[in-house]
Amino acid sequence: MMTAPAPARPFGRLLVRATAYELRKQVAFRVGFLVREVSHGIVEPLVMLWVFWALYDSAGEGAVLRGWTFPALVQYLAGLLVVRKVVFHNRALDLSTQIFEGRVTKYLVMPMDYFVLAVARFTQYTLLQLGIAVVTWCIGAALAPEHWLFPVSWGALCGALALVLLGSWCCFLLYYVLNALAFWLDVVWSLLVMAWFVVSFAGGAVMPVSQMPPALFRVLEWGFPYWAISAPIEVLMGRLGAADVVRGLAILAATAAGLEVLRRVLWRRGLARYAGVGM
Amino acid sequence: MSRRHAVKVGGESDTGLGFYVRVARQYARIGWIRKSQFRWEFVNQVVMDLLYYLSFVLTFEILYGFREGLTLAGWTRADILVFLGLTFLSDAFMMTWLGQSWHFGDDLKAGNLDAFRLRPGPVWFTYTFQRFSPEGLMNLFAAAGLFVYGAWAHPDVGWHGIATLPLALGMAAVGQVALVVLFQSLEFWAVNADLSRFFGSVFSQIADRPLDVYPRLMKRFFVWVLPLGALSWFPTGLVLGHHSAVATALYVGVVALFLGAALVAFRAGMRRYESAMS
Repeated sequence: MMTAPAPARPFGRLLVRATAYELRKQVAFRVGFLVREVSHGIVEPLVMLWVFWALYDSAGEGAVLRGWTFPALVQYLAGLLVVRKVVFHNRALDLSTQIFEGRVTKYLVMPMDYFVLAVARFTQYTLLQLGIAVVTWCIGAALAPEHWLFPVSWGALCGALALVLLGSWCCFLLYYVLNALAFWLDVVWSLLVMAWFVVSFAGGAVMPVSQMPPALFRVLEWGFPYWAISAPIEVLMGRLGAADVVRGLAILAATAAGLEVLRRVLWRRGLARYAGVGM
Repeated sequence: MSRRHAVKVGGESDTGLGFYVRVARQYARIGWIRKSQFRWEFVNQVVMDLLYYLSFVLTFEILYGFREGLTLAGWTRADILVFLGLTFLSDAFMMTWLGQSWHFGDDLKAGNLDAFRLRPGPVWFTYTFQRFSPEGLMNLFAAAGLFVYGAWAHPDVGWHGIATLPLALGMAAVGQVALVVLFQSLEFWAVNADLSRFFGSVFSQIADRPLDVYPRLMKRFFVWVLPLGALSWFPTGLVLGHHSAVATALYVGVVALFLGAALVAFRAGMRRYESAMS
């Protein structure tokens, strides 16, 4: 006897349920949680702090290198420690593995949109990392208040938060698109790592983008990584204002729209050639 | 490889140097065959590592380009080029031969070490070296190119530097093996923690800059206790003629001791191994 297909589950309710499961999964192994989630993104800013320390030491006391003093750079790196945690990381998506192993099939016959599960990953990641970022900021503010980054105003905080969250969404969409290429390429691990390098470097995860050579800066300021990582920190420091935030949000929104179109096209075409059995 | 070559009469494992060479040769052959199935991924991985190297070179070029005469804790722009060449060589060796270590946590959880326990030869070697990476080898050539350029352009690198190069490269390779084996060992005590991948990533970030930039105590720790210095900092100093013969002999001893300790830790970990450990 034929049965009618079950009605599609509401997006919102499914998202909440899936996010709760994702959160539970993350904290299931305590040492793993500490290593993967809490300590993520802490080492590189600390390493760069010492590199800059050595560099400014050789430049002499009170040196200003391409518009940045050492105390301002320390504040930038403190901001990086917090902001970079929130920006979506490719390790949180395993879509390409699911495609490669043929595990997507089971979701395709369910009365739901597969994308909601990926959005649940993004929501879980953002909530968890926001919580860890707040704790990190509080610890830093308590231990080294004279060097730490305090937002210049509530407006700056809201603007920076909007930039980081929208920038993180762009990263999520970018990684989703790259993962979806597994329909054609089977293995896309190196593409994901490459994208992470580019986003990190172009976003200012090594040094402020505005400290790079002017010609390079003029190119990178049109990319979403700059507005997702480096610019929000400069907004918090008061080096960028409200007009910059609006410009950044416009660039991020346009990028997100473009990536969303690409995601839908790739997903549709990928499914059309998907054999459902993996390699 | 026939079992006759690997096992002596009476079941004793023949693990002389010839054994390691034969197994490594087979792993290299399998690596080429595997990668021939994923040609696009092969190209991507080569490009990926080149991008990684480029981002490093670019970062240091930008830092030194701020102003004339800047140094990093005494390291000049010319020194850094040699340092980066050796860092990339060391990294490419790791990528070529030790890439399986990134999957150690998952393999431990799934009980995939069972098959290695049954094979003749030490598990740390047959497991860790199994994933030969042809793309890593390509990057080894790229890294060698940068190193040769850096050494050629450096005013202090002469015949002495060339003479010490085999020792410098050997130290970097042994240092990589020792660290990878040690980090894998930690996984036996904290299953599903990804400690091997985590420590590998953290300590490579620290070792990818000259250790002199870190505070004195931290530097000493990474030179003498957890000898990250063996990966590229000490080998670069050797090529640049910064270390005396006594200091070099001492450090070779430290790295050898560390390798021994890592192997002991791995063996202790294997005694805890009970097939699937999830």
